[in-house]
Amino acid sequence: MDPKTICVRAPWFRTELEARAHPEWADLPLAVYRPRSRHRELLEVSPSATRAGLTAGMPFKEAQIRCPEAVFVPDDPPKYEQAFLRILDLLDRFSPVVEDAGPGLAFIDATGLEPLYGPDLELCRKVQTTIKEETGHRVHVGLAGSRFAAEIAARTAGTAGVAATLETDATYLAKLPLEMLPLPEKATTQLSLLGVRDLGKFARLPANTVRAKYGEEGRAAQKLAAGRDDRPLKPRSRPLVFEEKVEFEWDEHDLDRITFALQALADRLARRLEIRGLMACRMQAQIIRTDQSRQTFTLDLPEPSTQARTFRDVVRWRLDAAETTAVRPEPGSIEATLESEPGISTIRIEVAELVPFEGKATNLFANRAERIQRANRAISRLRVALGEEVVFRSALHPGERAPERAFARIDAYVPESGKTRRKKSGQGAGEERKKVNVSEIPQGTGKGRRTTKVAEPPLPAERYAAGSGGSLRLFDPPLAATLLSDRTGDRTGDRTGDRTGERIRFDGRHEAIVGRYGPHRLRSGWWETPLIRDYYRVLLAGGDGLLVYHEPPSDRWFVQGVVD
Amino acid sequence: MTTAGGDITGGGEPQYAELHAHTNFSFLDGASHPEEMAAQAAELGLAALAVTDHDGVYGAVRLAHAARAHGLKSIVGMEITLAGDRHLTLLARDRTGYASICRLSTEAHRDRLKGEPELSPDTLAAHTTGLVALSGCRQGEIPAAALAGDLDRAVSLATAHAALFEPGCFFLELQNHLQEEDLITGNALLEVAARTGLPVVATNNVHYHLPRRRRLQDVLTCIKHTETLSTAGRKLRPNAEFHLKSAAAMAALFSGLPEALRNTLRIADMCDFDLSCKLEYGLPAATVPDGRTEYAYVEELVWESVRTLYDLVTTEVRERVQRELAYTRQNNLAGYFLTVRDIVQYCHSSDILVNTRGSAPGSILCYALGISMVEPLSAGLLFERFMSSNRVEPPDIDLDIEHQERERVIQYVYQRYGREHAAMVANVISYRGRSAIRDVGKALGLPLAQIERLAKILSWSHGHGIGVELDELDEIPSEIPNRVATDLIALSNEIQNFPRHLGIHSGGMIISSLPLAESVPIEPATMEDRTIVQWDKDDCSYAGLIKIDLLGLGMMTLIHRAFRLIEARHGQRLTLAGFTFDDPAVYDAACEADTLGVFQIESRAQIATLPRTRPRNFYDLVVEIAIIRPGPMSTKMHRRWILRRLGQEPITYLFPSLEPVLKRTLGLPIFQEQCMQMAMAVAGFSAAKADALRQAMSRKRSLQHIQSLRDDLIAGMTANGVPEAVREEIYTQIEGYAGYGFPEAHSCAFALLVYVSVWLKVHYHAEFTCAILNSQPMGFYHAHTLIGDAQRHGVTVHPVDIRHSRYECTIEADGAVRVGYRYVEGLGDAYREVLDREIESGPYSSLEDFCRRTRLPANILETLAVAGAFDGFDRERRDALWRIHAYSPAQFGDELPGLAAALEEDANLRPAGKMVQARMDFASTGHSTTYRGMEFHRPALSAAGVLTADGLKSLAEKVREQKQQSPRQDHPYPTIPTPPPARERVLAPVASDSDNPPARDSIGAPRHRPRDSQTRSQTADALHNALTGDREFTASEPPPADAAIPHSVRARARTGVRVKVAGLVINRQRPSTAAGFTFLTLEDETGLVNIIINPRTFARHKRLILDEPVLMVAGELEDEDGALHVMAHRLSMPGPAHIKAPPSNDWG
Repeated sequence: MDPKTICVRAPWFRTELEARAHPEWADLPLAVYRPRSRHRELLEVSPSATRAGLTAGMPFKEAQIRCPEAVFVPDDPPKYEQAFLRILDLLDRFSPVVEDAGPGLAFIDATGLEPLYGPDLELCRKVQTTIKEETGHRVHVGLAGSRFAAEIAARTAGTAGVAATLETDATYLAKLPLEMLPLPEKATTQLSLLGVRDLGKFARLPANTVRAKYGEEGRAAQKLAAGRDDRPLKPRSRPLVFEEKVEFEWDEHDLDRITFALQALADRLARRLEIRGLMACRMQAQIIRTDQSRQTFTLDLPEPSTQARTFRDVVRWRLDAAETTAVRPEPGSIEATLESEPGISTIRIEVAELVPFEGKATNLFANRAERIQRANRAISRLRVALGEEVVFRSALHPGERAPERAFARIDAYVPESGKTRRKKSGQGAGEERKKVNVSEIPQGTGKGRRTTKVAEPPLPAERYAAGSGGSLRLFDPPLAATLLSDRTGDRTGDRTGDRTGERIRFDGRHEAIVGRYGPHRLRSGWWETPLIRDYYRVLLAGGDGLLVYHEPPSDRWFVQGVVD
Repeated sequence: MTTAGGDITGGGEPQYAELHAHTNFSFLDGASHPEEMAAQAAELGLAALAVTDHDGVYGAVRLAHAARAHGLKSIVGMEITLAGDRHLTLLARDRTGYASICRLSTEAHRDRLKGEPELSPDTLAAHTTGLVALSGCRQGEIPAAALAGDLDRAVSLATAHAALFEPGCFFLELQNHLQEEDLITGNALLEVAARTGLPVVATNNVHYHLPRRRRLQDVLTCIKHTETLSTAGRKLRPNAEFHLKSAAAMAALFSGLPEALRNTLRIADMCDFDLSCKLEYGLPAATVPDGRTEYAYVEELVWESVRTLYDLVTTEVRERVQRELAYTRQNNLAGYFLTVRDIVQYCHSSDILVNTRGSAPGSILCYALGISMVEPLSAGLLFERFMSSNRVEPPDIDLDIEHQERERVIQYVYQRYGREHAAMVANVISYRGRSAIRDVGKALGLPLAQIERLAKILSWSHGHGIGVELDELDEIPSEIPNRVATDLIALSNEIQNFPRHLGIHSGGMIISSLPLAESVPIEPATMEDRTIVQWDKDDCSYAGLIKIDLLGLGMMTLIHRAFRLIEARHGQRLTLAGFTFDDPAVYDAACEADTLGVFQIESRAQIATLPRTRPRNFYDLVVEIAIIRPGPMSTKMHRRWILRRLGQEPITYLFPSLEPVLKRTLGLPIFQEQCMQMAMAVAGFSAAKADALRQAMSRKRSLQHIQSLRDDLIAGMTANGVPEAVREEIYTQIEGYAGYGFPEAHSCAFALLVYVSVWLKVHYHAEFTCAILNSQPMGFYHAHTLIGDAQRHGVTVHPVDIRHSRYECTIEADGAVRVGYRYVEGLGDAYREVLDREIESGPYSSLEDFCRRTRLPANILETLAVAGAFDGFDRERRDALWRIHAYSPAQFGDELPGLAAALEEDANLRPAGKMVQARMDFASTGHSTTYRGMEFHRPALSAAGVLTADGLKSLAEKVREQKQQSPRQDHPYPTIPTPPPARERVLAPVASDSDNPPARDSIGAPRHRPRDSQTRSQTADALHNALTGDREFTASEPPPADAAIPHSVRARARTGVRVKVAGLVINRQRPSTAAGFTFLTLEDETGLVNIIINPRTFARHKRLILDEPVLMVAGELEDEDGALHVMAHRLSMPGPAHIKAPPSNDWG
């Protein structure tokens, strides 16, 4: 029986996923790019982006210029890999040997499937139709004797999107252009000069010379051109699933009882992980209500762990937070679930991300490690309880002069133990956390007023006695203030001279000024949003120190911060 | 100039001298020109202004001169960088202090990477004489300690620093830019002052003259740190307080510290060194025999030489020599002449061809000392242009040296005079349109692709402001916000002419007897073994440093190479001095514009002019060179001169007194000297003032300089009774030279090279071709075009062949040119020795023999295979390319001979077709000796009625005949003057049998006197005859003129004949003098075609014109007295590109 291989290629897999997740992008050209490569090349482009002149491999900047209206999404391999599992599962229905070649590409061993699914082309159509119907993804399907030929068939499948070779792979490939081969550009150019422009001619060249001229890579390519693809399909491995669940026989609302059940699940999960030498770094919890509606949420652990207590706690915190939150829950949310009928019938917890056990037990080491561990736990609890928003890292923004914006928020919080490597579930492939370039961070620190502690520059003690040794608490946004003359009650301007008798009113306070020092002039940001401020140090009669500024264009005063 | 001194309120108003100011010569850390700084300081009424650029005195001369012009006292200073990137401000009190600054700057740059100077404490300590030092900005060591709150350290540092300098010469520097840190630092420094007793002084660390320049300063900071404005953050200064401030403003900032301002005046009084005066640096000393003085030795040499050179030493000669000697003695220039003579003699002894250019040919001393080849009297060259008693500046001698040998001469000078006494002049690399757009665009954060797009638009534009061009062309991409576009344009215009970094002048060297580093700092250049001074040629000249230009000239290399080839093959030894300038064949070639590859008259503009000007003697060439220059062209002198030469415009003079000045140039000013003479004749200018006019014409931004003399010129002319309209016209003619024109002597020196190069091309075209191919890169044309031209003249050019080729191109026994390995892609100079050695040691017996002996790497062997270099071993290119790997050293190593052949495997490849061969030629060597490129388009082009270059000529001739036979009244076309009989030789193959040298007389003999029989007097006679034709010195007789043509030249040239042509674009030009017209040169398999594109057509087809390597042009044939053009109406691509065309020479 001749071997047969099917290639399933989803050329718009990533962009289709993104478009589905963001319906507002439906009419826009869409492209996924490699965020960490030097030129951030496009990895995949949607059909509309192709029509707009974008192509895979195009540098990001060039693409932006060519099609400014396009939406560019950074590649997110775990997300796409996870999503592609659905297609792989479907392919499992057709053949026991399915190879996962990365998001959007799979091979299946089609040898002997004819009696089950009919002729080759019919099989290809069935695969295509099944995927389309079950997932909505458009795929190209190619069938040939080997995986290379099958992939070429899928790539050249045309509008129908299916192709099956009717001849031997060698014959099928012979007339195809040399560019189809994975050859270095230099070799392709030289072969073109030699008049070798199709795979057939390349396949007929003396093998030894090909190896000598183009190395093993060239020889391997020549074999492919000859229809000899020796690479066997690698059946995909089933991911390890660490999942535990409990089904209640009643509608459960009581958190304590739920926690008790959770403890049992967590214990079992921890034991299984320990046996496998694995640690969990992310959990997924699912609750199923008695009306069969489901709610799933993902929970980051403070650090990779095998401890049942940790697993139990993160889930409980989440449920606890929902119960204690002062905000009225949104319909359909976890909180609403807990408060409304029907109650919970099933709880399922699953490890969403795994890493190999590193032999590291931070609590065995010195106090610092313990402190870090505690801090991490606290932060994790805060995040789980109050949401991602409340905990973030900040860094001095290199491009900002305005004090209230000088500290930029870095969204991704990474526990201080720092060496955490998030591994792809079930595969162990390393994936470092994204390093955030603070220059790319959007300005502002969110809604409402926040204060941030910053180091205070040295001050001459005799002039800024109140500020000495203290630290400046910044207001974001700065507080509007009014400077008044004690004698006349008039608003004072940005004039120099005697400050005796000045008062300041801000944030409901109204105090006399005993000293105002400045101005320290700030004129920045002329290229986008001009920052025109004259800063003053102000000493209040009560002994507090303030940092205030006058904005000449609007002639307004603001309190930037107080010295604690 | 001294300040009021003492009380800062002298007379009630506060007074202040700014002692810490950076100009834009701090290179990307200063946003105002020195001239702007000086003007603003004067406007503000400052008592003095010190320029303290980083680590040098780059802008000091300019500031000193500008300050002098504004009546402002200038102080030379420098902010030196100490170890740890700490700054210290130094000011020169006197000449000794200035020498200390120069020495310290030199030492700071010595052995350091470019742009990273650093001075060691020991070196600083060794050179503090005559200096005043200030503790520096916040980056200074003392202020930094003060800011950090380490008062003890600040006190100890201040004490140590003060001890380095003379008593009372160290000050603590206070600054207040309305920043909190300044306040903290200032308070701490006051504490240090109290504890050490050191005086304090206020400065403002100025970086721009006006607050509005702060934006540019920010942009420059971004450029310096390769940041954008959004990311630069704290690298940018927080406010705009770093501008020049008035005394009142400074007094307000330092209201509690009047002594800090008073001390600025005290220091200004201490500093009494003015760099606007000439520096006494000592001319180079020469070796003089027997204890004679330099002058006595020069005098002896000159008279001895004059007696040899002139058969009869006439009174005119004697008087001229005496006058020049007197001037030499008076100005102590004997040593200078001897130094130049020494360099020339070194060139002669080293077999390096040398000639002089510029004004030096106007000196009989230069001629007598062997520096110049041109006899000045017979050429009517002015000595005053070279040097005069009224000249403020010393004379300038420029030597043209073979460009491939110039480095030897430069290194000789370094070796002969020492690095302490010789250095090259710097070239200040300044921002121009493209570089400005690029750097400002990057700073504004625009994407690179957009920046490149904008920069490219400017590549063909010159002259007016950037905004105007971009707006006119509507080229700002819509995705760039208006605000950013406005900033981009404004800042790009502001940054124009800002210095970016120092380069090396093309050949200027300063040689001194005293250590040069005490007159101007010396720093290493990026190029190995080169050191440069910190000033450009103008600043050197202002400071009185005499420059000797050692200029590399490709044409000198070509001529010398051709001389050697001719001597080797024909036994004829040629020298530059041996030409008689009377060979009609040379002038025939020039008349036919058959000048591709020759000196100066090969450009498109020259080729378009020559058929009309029809030069018939040497002086015609002198004029021809001078008229196609921006100066004469901007005032349309070249067109009027042509009309006058053709008799189509009467020869008149704007004012009777101009006749003697302009007679020999048909009443029009062509040369720089004539402008001087005109000013003297009509405006009563003295020689000194006329010399000032010359200087103005020679300098950068000459227009402004000339305009500054306008009032004097007009007043002088009015006084001499010149009518108002004529005054304006004369002034306009003079002003036109701001765009650059040639001195007559310079043109004369160049004409000599023009004549020689045309002579070589006419009589020894194979040698000429071989020499020019070996002298590349040079000139206007790519090797492919030059080879095509040679082939059209019957020269056989063979491609690279391993059996015959050397590294350089050679002449083979049959007279054919053999292309050398130097043209093979990737085969660099490193393989030259082995390739030449092996071929000398015997022919290669086989491919394997070649590979084994040369051991070239596989990639080069492959390129040779692609180039067809193995064809001679019966290896078809594809076959050779396939098999060659077997012979690479990596494959067969040191195995036994014969083994490699066994590794070959037959691939049964189909031989390469013609088009593939052409592609292979271009890919491997950049040119083809077999294919021109356009022949592959020809069938389709012929079918579309597209003419070849030859076809166009034939058509033009037919049109001419028809016009002559039936002139149409409604579209009058002039009768073309009958051209001299066409030289059959031009199109016939040059006889090249080395055993039977061609009878030169039969083809227009190369009348070159053998060296042995030649004396300088003969040369002088020959030149005299050539220049004057034994008559009064004038241009040759104009050709017979037709009746005066009432139509404009353009209208006259129109034929009304529509044509289509196509070819590889080899040249794109859009000169600023051409009113927006663009000129292309296309090359097809039969020759060149000139295309003219008007601005409207250009706008329609801009992308095609700018980007496409092959173009088809439909338009109207124009025939200006034999100079053919196609006035383009429509442009298109003739089809897909078959070959990768050689790069075109654009916008040059």
